[in-house]
Amino acid sequence: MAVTSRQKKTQRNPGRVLGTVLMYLVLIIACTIVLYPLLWVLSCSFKSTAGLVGSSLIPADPTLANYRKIFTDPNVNFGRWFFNTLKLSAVSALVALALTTPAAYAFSRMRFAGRRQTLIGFMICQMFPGFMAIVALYTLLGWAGLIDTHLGLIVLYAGGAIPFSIWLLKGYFDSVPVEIEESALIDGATKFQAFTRILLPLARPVLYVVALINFLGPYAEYLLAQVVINSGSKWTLAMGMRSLTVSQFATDWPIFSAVSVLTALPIVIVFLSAEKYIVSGLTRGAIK
Amino acid sequence: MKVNRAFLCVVLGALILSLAAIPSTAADPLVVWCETIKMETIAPLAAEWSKKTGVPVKVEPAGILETASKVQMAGPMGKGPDVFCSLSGTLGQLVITGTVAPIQTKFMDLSNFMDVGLNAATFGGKLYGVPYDISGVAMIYNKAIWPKPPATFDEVIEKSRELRRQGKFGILWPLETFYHSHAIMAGYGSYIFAETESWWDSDDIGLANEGAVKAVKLLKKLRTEGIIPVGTDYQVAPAKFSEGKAAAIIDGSWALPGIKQAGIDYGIAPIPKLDNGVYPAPFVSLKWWHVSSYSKQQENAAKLIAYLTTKDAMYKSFKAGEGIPPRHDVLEMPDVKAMPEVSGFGLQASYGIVVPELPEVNPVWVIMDSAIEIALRGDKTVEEALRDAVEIIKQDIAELK
Repeated sequence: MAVTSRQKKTQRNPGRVLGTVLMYLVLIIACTIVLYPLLWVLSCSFKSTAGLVGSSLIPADPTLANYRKIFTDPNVNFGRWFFNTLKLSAVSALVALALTTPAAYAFSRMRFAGRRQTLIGFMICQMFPGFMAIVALYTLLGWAGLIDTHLGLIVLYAGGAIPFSIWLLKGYFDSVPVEIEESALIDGATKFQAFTRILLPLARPVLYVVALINFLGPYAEYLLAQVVINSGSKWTLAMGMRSLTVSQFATDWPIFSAVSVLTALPIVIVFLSAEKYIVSGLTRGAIK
Repeated sequence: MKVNRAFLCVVLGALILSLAAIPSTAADPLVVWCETIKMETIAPLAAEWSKKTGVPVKVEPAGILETASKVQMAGPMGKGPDVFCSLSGTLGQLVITGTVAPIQTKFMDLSNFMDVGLNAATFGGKLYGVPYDISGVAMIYNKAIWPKPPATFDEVIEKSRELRRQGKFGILWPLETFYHSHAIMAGYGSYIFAETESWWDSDDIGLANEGAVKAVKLLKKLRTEGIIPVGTDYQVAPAKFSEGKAAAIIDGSWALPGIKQAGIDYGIAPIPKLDNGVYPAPFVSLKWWHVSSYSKQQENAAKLIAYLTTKDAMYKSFKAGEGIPPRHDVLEMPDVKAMPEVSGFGLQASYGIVVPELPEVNPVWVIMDSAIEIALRGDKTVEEALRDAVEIIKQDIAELK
């Protein structure tokens, strides 16, 4: 006997409803775990006393004094730190992009001796934490006379980005059909023209991703910056924030929280505006 | 086209790298790495000195916890500072690695500095750092109970007994915390590592000697008589004091905000003399100015340090920020004397001792904490507990090597 549609519905529905409820539950829990600390930092930035382990999520005495202090305290040079960090991040991202896109094109579209070995070599290099290499990197910068310079840091950041970015880009390029470029080559375009006029526009999402990753990396990076930079005028946001936390005894958490909020704001804005590109860039390669 | 482009890239790359290698031709300024919170007062002082002597000076902010390791890396590269600050705990490493140069003391008058500050930086007869800040714990007492600070530790014990009978507390501090209780032990003659003329001798551990035993027996008395009950930790003591239920605590300046907020009329004084007439010696932490051994202007560096640590300079520089100047003459100045936070802690600090700057000192804290706890509980006799602790320390040190 054929099952009526009503019976079919009641047989399917409880399972689906339960599944949906569970899914939302998991998402809500995950969001809470992620958002709660952020809200805490936000509320701490409005606190008037120095404690972090405080009473409630909503501060008893909300005040803008911490934000005001950021711009008036002589030890807090927020404007300078922010400018330096933006400069480092933006230039690192651009340089990384400029270096890795042609390289990824070569790895994807061309065949040459040592191609596979280099790719595997990149993967192996990724496994070493950058921290281990600090003294070696410092010595190299010393030979080049780049200690205590932003250029030196950019070299380290952009250079360190190469393996991962090349892998990411190559993966995406591999998913773009070669036929389009081949037909362009037949029509008389040079390899470079095929690269810039056909592949790159198609690869825009992944280029955004690579640029964003290489922008975010240096933005909050502390270890390398701390080691390389000596002059106060070259400090980054991370170094500045560290100097705020290390005082004689008590950490001034409210100011630290306020600086954190101001630091995070540009990133949030950038991410929200470029979100659709990032998501499509990360997912499209997989589907094709 | 292809060849041209490649060639261009190579030339561009070479240009960029060569730009970085252009040496600066300006006269090298004296570079000072000053801790961030002191920048406000040190930078103008350095500028003053620069004007007077005509030597260009550049003061950079630095995290005081990082300067030691950064100078060790940057110095050999020629990118290090000439003068820099450091915190207790890194001096040993700096001296052993040869990062700091002996300071030419002929440019300065060291007579008014606290002995503890200078001795801690003197190795093999040479001074490797000039102290500019000292901090430590002291006795914070309730003026309602003691209008004048008690003169002897026996007085403190007597009063504590009286107060306990009334259900309140006398003196309180975390007995089982070796870092604090060592003050009493040191007063009776105990020491972690013996000091030799040039360094510390990590084989000579004085934590089970006569003085140590006498001290821990005194601590045990405080425990068994109920003067300092079980469970008094570093949060309970100031809490009771802020409630007005304790007459005195042994704590540092970080405890003061809470006490002030509670409205207690407090005073700060050195922990009173023990029955052998000696002041207990708590551990103090110091900050120093050093001359980098990679500096090419060591004489100027020494002169600048001399300028930054004169009586007037210290008076100016500590007034703005936190900390205590390690100079007797500054502490004696009338308006400084009127600030109990500074004069009280300062006086106590002058009786203090420093933690030996050896990596061998690391296992000591935990082992001694539990040794005191065991002795206070009565699981072992005091002599046994201390002797066993020293044995364990010796084993740990042997393993370190």
